[in-house]
Amino acid sequence: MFERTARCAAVLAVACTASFAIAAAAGPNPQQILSQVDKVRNPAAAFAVNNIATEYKSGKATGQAAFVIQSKLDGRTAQYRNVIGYVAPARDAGKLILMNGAAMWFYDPNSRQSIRISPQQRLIGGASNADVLAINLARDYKANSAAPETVKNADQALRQSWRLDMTPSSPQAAYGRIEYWVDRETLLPIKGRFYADSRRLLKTVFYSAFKPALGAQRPTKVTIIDQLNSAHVTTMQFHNYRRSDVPDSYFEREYLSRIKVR
Amino acid sequence: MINLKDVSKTYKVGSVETVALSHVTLSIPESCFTVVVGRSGSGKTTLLNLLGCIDFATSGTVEIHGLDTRTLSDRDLTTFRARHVAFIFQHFSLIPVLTALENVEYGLLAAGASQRVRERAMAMLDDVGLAAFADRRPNELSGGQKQRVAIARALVKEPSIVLADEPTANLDSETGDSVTRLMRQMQREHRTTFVFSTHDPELMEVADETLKIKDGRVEFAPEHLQVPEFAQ
Amino acid sequence: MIGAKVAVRSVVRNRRRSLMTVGSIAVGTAAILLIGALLAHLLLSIETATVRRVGHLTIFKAGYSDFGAVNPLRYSIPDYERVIRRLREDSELRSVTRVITPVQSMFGLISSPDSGASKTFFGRGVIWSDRQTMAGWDPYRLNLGGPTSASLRDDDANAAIIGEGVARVLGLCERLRVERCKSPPKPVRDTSLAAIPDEDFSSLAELDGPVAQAPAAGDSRPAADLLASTPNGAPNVMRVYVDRAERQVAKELDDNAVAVQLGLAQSLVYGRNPPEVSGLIVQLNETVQLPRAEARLKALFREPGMNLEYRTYEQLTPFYAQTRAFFKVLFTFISIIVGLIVVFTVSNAMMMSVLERTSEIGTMRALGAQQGAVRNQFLLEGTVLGSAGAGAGALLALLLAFALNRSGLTWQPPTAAAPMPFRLYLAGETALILAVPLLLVVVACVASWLPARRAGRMTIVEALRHV
Repeated sequence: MFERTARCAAVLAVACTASFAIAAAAGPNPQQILSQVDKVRNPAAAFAVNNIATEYKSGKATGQAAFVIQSKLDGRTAQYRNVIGYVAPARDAGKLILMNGAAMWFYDPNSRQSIRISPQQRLIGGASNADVLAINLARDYKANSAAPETVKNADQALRQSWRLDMTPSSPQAAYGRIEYWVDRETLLPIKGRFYADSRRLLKTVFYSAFKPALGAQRPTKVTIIDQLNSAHVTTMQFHNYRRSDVPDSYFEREYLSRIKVR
Repeated sequence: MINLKDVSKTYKVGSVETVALSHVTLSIPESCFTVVVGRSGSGKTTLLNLLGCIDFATSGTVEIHGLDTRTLSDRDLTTFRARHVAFIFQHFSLIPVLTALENVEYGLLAAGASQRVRERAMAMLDDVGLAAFADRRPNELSGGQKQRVAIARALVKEPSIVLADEPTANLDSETGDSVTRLMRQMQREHRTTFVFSTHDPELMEVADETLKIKDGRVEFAPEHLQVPEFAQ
Repeated sequence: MIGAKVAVRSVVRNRRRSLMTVGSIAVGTAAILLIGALLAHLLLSIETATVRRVGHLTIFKAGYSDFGAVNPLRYSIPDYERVIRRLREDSELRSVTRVITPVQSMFGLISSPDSGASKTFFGRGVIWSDRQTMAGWDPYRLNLGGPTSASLRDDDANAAIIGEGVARVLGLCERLRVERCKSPPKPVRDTSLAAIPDEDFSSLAELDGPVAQAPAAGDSRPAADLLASTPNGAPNVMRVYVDRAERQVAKELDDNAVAVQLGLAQSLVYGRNPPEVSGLIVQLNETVQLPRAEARLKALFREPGMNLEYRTYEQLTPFYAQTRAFFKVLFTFISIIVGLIVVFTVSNAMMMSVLERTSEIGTMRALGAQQGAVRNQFLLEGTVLGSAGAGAGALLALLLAFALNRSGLTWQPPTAAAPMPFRLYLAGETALILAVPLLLVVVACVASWLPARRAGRMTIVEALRHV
């Protein structure tokens, strides 16, 4: 009698160890990969970068604007707050957008008024792409799987990647699902697909033109394809990543009138 | 029964003041057939109006059964008039939309009667000989017939006093005569006081007493009509 | 009543003047009655149209009316199915209620994947069959004509009905058979952008692989995408198939309206969160039952877990309340004017009558008629004129209403989406038919007052002097 129990136990033990081994061979924990990816993406506690965003329709440029983006990590919420200042075109120069948590504010230096941008208003125009910048993946999403995959990047080159499949882990998560391809060795982002709660694909984003900045390789070109109307493509070109420490109060609505865009 | 004590009546037409009666003192007893004579504008009509309480003296007292008419309200005066005073006018003054019979009824109804109004009116019409014309409207009657209706209307309520202002003026002589006879007859039968003004000599002859008025003053009044305390 | 005889016969005696007076009163009476009937009918049609569309009451989460505009998703009803059950169970409410149906508002962008055009929209998610039932509400039997097309089936999950204005912007005129489309102007290119070289993204797009949504099997209707924000502040998008475009009551609605199945709206608006509803629409059997329903709801909302409030259709559609108030003012104004005309006409006629019969008045007074009696006689005369005129006017109005209703005329009053038959709702308005002539008779009597009083107060001797 005891013999049989012991034999069962032994079989079980072997089976468990075996599955453990299989799991270990499968690769690192998806959530771990995700937090690593975030580390790579987010440069420093406080930084600034210049951005030129160009909108295209069917390949023809329909709009272009230049900004300075000032970002700072909020220690309490583990979320980046951003102030985006328009530099060009001239008619928009000096206007500011504040992204502070879930709220978005717009400030006009001519009227010296700041107004809140509602979620509805964010659906259209440049504001709709802003959240791609502010995203904090590990905080709001959980990676359900990390599968090895070969994927073509923006330059049509094949790359070995992890494909992370993410779903929301907090109410602040903007997308119902994200598929995110990162380079298997460097964990640098290659491509992302962002889905709505209804599972419709909203945008596809390509990250390219990596250059060293602030101690790491960073994508200096981001291409966003609007999947609701794929003729609409926006490119963002980043340059001059730099540390830029600003006080926390910088990211309050009341401070906006004091900011001068340089 | 009716006393006038130092009664004067003036009235204004525009800015012109006219004295119609001046210091008239009279007493009208019961059951007399008195005629008031005088020229046109001498004040006959005014006198009759005052006697009938349809006009008011400017000064002096008009007494009826001892009551000063000035103390009576319009309502009371009207009630008195309705019951006790009857008018017969020169121009007949029938209500044009009513039939002869209805006109006579009006006399009774205004006096407050409610019993057997139609019967009595019909009887009165018959008395003046117009029973056959009961349903005729005034515009279907001759002058004489109209006056007879007026008399019927006046007498149907058995008034104390009948005041007639030139009752025969608009009638031909024959009709005038018959109307005169009728009034005389009524007076005898009902012992009513008749006071009337006229130019008609026939009527003047029939009168018991004659009162002469000139320029608003009583020129001559029979003893009968004089007020004892006020000698002329 | 001898005075009555005199009064009536005097009216008849002066035929021409009496006829003119009676005639003008009749025309005035008929005018008021017809206008009253017209306005009454209009109001009933507007009420019917409104109640068909929005029911009698809408139930919201408490606080919605004050703050819901700013943050509508915070003021939606979370456990709406339980609330509906509770309302349907309540015996008192059930006896007056015809339909209780949930509704979800949505606001966002609608775009056409074919033309690439997009515009903002605001719309509702509804239960189609409930809406069809609501659209049949017709207690006044106005026969306004129900919905011209068949309702969508409740299981037609992705169907949408849009306003004609929306159809035009999206470039769906031909496919949806909408008239009066204009081709959109060519976008003017900003010359400062000419320097930026063109790019070819086609390889990238292909790279990504076709993710375009194939139309649902067998659905040939034009597709559109609805884009809205979820409570998480995230964009959400749902594919719909436009069944038809319907002209809306007002242009603002027509340019923005989108109606879909409730479930689809909930998926769009709430995304991954549990579905709720913006409100519950209650349609009663009759509008007179509204106070009862309100009282019952107030009582029910005091129960635990019923953190709700309601708004009546008048509060939700200020247009209706304003229109009704405006009609009242208009009607009153016209009635006053006609009343004044009647006053002048009767007053004038009576004045002349009194003057003409001055000597007659003197006679009557001399005969012993009291002032009051003479006055009353003339008052009666005026009243007789008024009664004859008002009566004739009422008859005239009924005849005209009958004739007009049969004439086949049409018109398009405010809130009508299309021309409708011109109807005067007079025969049913007993209150109006009785009250208006009666009032005008009173007015005629009052108008006779001064001349009548004057008649009574005449000095007898002066009156008699008048021949």
